[in-house]
Amino acid sequence: MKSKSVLSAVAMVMCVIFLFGGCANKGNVDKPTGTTESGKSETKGENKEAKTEETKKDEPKPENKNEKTIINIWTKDRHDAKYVQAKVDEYNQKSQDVEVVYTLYTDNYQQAADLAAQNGELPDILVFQNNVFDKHFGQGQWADLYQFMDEDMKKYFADVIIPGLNELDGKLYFIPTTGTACRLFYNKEIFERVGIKEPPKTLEEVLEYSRKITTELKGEGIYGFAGNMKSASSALNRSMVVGLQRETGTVSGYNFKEGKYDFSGWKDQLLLWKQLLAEDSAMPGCESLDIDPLRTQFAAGKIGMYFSYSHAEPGVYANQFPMDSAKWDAVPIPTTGGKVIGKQNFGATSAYILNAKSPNLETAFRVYKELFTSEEYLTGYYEGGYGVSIIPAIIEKANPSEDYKNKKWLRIHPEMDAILPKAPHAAFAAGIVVEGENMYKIAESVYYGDADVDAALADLNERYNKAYQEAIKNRTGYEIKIPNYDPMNPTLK
Amino acid sequence: MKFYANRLKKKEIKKNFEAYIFLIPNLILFMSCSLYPVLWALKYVFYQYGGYGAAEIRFVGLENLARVFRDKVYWQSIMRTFTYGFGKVLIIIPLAFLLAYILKERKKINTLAQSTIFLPTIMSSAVMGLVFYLLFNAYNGEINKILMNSGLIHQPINWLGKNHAMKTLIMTAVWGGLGNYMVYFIAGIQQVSTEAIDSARIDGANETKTIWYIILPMLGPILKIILMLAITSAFNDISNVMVLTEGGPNNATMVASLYNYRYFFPVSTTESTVPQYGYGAALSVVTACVAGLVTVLYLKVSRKLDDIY
Repeated sequence: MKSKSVLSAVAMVMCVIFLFGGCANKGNVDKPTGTTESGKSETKGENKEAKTEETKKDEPKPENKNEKTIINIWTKDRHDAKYVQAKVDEYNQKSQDVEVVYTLYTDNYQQAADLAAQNGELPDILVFQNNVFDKHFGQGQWADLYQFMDEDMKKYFADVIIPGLNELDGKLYFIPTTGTACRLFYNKEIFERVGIKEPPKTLEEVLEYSRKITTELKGEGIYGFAGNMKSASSALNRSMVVGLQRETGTVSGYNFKEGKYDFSGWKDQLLLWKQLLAEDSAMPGCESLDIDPLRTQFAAGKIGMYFSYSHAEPGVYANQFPMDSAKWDAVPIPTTGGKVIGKQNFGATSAYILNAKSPNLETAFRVYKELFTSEEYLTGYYEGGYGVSIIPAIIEKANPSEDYKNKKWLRIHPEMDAILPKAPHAAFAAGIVVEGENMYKIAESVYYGDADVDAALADLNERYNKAYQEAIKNRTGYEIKIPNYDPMNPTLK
Repeated sequence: MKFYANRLKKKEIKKNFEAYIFLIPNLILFMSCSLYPVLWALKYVFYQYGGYGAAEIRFVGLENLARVFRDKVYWQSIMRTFTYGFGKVLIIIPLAFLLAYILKERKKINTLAQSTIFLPTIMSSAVMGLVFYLLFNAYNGEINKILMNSGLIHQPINWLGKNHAMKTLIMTAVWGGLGNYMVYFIAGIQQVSTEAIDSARIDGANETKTIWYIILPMLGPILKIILMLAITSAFNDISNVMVLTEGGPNNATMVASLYNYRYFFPVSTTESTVPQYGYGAALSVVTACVAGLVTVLYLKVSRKLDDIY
């Protein structure tokens, strides 16, 4: 009986250890934000004068002088991971008091950040992503960079500080250093083989050339057009939706002048896309294609044209899926009949946000400044072909990769590219709940021939406007109306 | 009287003390990992909630449930779940039984074959999805290459296109689950009385008749459980659908579990998207009710299978 009691007690203890061991915070084991490991104590950074009392209090005191402060950085970017990791390694070797841990999350970046925010385990520094930034902005999750920046730094980045984009209510939350714009990428060799002399300027020409290539070279497994259509939103946000910004002056179907959604301008493009994705034009299997498998096929010379971002492709074809640079080029996204009444949005990229709740905020800023804003880093980034610099000093000084020098449309062109305001459903993503399928899924149902275009667009108009008005009524969203909005000179609001 | 009842109760607890201790971990896990999420989901059915970081939590009463009944895409996804589940069960059950019958003897070669067939069961279904993508994709998939080289087809088949994607998904599900069901059947066949089989053979029954009139009826109770597992698991299959087709093209493979999942974890790197936990919870609750209803119906219909012994 006694042995039974002992056994029971042991079993109980084991159960408790097992349970609580599993539920315990990993913090002490994995050394997350704020923990330290052997090395030297924190150095006095050049921003010491900018140190606020608040951050002084928050900064954990190293237990002894042999400890290094761990600064965690999360990224979602695969294309520049190699370059950044090399810079991080270099930094770690030089740094006496800080160790940077650089972690790459790709498709699950947003989910990882959401979960970490919920558990209070966000890293010190994160690569900027719209979703992550917008979602946690309201909780005061992101640090105002102005509190640490000296006058020189403010002056250096003055051209990329854009009120309404990264400067909100007098606070600066991130500094984009490169830009990305959506373009049509084409294989010059394939074009030459079928006798196409110039890249397409209209969407009708895209269709014509695609059919020509597919008809003539299908036997060799070469097709005119491909899209990463597995995810309609991913595919259309780098192609049709961007083209429509220039063609209709609206942003994701939203008319800023009238303050309402109007998807009727989508009709012509959708009908052309339906033909573009048909059997006689597109590569078979586009429906289940992701962007990376698509790029492998483009690099293998099997695809004539596709849409993507200007910042990523040079790096991809230089490192990830090697392709002779002379074989490809990029041009602006063609519109229906070449109609252009507005500018298209360009993404301000290579920006980092700092976790305001990090106990090592000041050290995190120092790492950010030394690592990601140094001229050496920014020049190397541009020259390495990882992104198109938008910092005037870098553009002037750098000797960019041949791709950026020779391929005009990989660069940002102010006459065509601009930062556009967000449509209400994106600006108040949590507050505007559109019932039913979103605009991308509806577009998908049209270009796969499952829905009538007029009925589908009328349904989109009704549902998006209804959700928008409902949000205004419930105060979960606000009216965005810019009566003097000029799509050629867009203003942010 | 009350005093004696209490004493009896205390005695009972003392007697089963160890059993209670061993139950504690399971109880805690059940409460934290099963019961709590269910209660959590039930609560949010009545709210509009965008998850952590969302602007507000708003009580919306029965609006989420009403929305479920208006949501055509959801009900289409339920019908597709039935197609998927029915297709899977229809192929996997006879195939698993046949394999179990052939490999039931304890021989080295059979053990090797059993292990090989069982292997996909322990593989990550996401990895499985990726491998199947390499096999089935239309532009350079191995399946098309083999079929074209052998002259069976002249044009590559778009296995993951609108017309074939569901069939391809069923094939991958069969491949992934076959080993599991085979093991269940082997366990069942080994329970069948050898005397009954021997008597049938003495009476002149051939192999087919023995299977049809002796083995299959005697497998009744275990067959009932296997079928129930196959049906309920069809409602939860999500990862291979996600990797292979993401529910596309144009929702052709959008099963209910993936449709629900999208509301909890919307995937978009290009646009602001927030989860709709309230609506997702309502969808999950209705899906659970549908799955429960199917199970109850099945148990009612299959009651006959219990009466064998």
